[in-house]
Amino acid sequence: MSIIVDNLTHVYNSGTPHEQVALRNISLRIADGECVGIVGITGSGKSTLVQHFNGLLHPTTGSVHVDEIALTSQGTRKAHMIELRRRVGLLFQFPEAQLFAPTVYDDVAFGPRQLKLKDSEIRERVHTAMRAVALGDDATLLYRSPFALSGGQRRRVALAGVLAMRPRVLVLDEPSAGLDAEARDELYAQLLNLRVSEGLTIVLVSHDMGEVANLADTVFVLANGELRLSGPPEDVFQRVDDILSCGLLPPPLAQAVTLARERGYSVSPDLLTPERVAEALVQARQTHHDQAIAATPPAQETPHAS
Amino acid sequence: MNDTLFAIEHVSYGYENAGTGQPLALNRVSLEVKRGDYVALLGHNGSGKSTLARLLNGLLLPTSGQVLVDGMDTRDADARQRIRELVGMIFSDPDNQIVATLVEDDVAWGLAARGWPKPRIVERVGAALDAVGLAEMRGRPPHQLSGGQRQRLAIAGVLALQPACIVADEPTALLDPRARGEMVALLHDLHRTHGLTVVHVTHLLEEAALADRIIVLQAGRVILEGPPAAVLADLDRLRALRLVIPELAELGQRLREHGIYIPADALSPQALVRALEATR
Repeated sequence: MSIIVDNLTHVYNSGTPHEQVALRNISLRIADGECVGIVGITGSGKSTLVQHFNGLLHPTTGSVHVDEIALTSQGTRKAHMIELRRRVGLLFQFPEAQLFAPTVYDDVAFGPRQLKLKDSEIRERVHTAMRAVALGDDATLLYRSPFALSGGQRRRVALAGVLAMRPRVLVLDEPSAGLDAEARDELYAQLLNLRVSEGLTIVLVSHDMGEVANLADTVFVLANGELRLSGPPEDVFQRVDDILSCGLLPPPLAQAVTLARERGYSVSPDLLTPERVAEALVQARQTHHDQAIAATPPAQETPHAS
Repeated sequence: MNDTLFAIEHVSYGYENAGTGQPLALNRVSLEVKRGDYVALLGHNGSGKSTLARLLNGLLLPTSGQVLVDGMDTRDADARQRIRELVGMIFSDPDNQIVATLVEDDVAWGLAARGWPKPRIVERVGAALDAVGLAEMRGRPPHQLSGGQRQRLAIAGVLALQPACIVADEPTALLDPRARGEMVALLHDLHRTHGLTVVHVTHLLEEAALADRIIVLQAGRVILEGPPAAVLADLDRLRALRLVIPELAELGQRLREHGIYIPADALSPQALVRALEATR
């Protein structure tokens, strides 16, 4: 599914003394099957933006199109809203706080039950969703209380609840906040998997550039409610001054590459993994070394060796 | 004056309902911290590092063993006031320790509560706000400050009491990456220029790498201890402790595998490229 945002402005508490412009004239496109990162500091407007993608918020002016469904200040037909909520799954920050059912099964099945599906279909969806978040191996898990699970497992149960609605777009707001390294890596692996196997469009919201560097095809950087930068991560991360002006830092690896280039290492600026940066640095040193030897005149011709 | 600020001897700590088979949060930990040290307590959630931090100024008292601060036992109720003045604490969320409606009043709070005369309070408050770079904000209400500025305000409130040591428990956890860097720089600045002892609790290798010494906790025990270059050299071991391995640590390791000597504690882009240059 594609998402087209056209001149979107959102004003909270419009017409009151607490009026606050959260988004100004944002235009962007997310293609079907793409994974995009939306990056900005606290208060930059990133959560406000993605809450338009499933109709939780409506534009004050401008529009958002999710395939053929339009969201404008005029509102949206009820049938369209229902369809939109089915197609676009939104995982909030700390989604495990929203688990409520007595068992994991009931929690994941909650959404599908609202769709009035047959029990067999609901069961199938719960099992598929639990497998998708790598919690399908232990059948007893389904009948445990979600509150008896670890933090990382609870977050994955919350994600399974969203997946059981079979969305075509998955919007994740700070999905790794508060997770330990292992849980975070697992979550990312599952997201990549879903993208490949289901062709989901994925929108990742984060204040951490490094987090989106390895996952996103396109990065949008917001500051002060405005879209400041967009493009492939390897291009965006080179625009160091622009990133700093948005209150953000480029990922440490990108900073190291920028510094090394300033010091004359000829490494490509678009490398985003430690392996590739290491290879490139080793290569650049070798080349530099070879050139230095080639450029050094033979010893006897040096008039005054110091 | 005593060269040893903290002497922690065979300290165990169990939270209540420990009788239900819950393991001890700290298990026979012995440590020494000297005046002027910058020590990082590194560990995963639940490793016991915050518990240890809270034992350092008597917020928690050991279940067994003893914690001596400048020779005073934290269990000694008469010494506790003095210990709290020597050892200030800040936490992840500065809002939990901001009490006043103006920045300067907030910094003055601890002194006013001790009945200090106004001119001396004004002097101390000015010096504390200068030290954290908030002098221009003195007349503002704290809620107008950014997260990073509020955290600096919390530090100023502690500094006004002129402590010998600041214990900072995950001081950057709620900050975005840039404010995080500024906060770490401030702690190091206070350590260098004011000679403060700093105990910095963190789960981030990048922050621990800048300390004089790293103490790694796991399941309530000290399992590794030493200078950053030594402790951070074994990435596989740290990974097994469920710590996030920074990409620059991996880059450094790969360069070492190629025979380029990058110290294991070069975890900032600047430090890493400097080390690379030094070997050219």
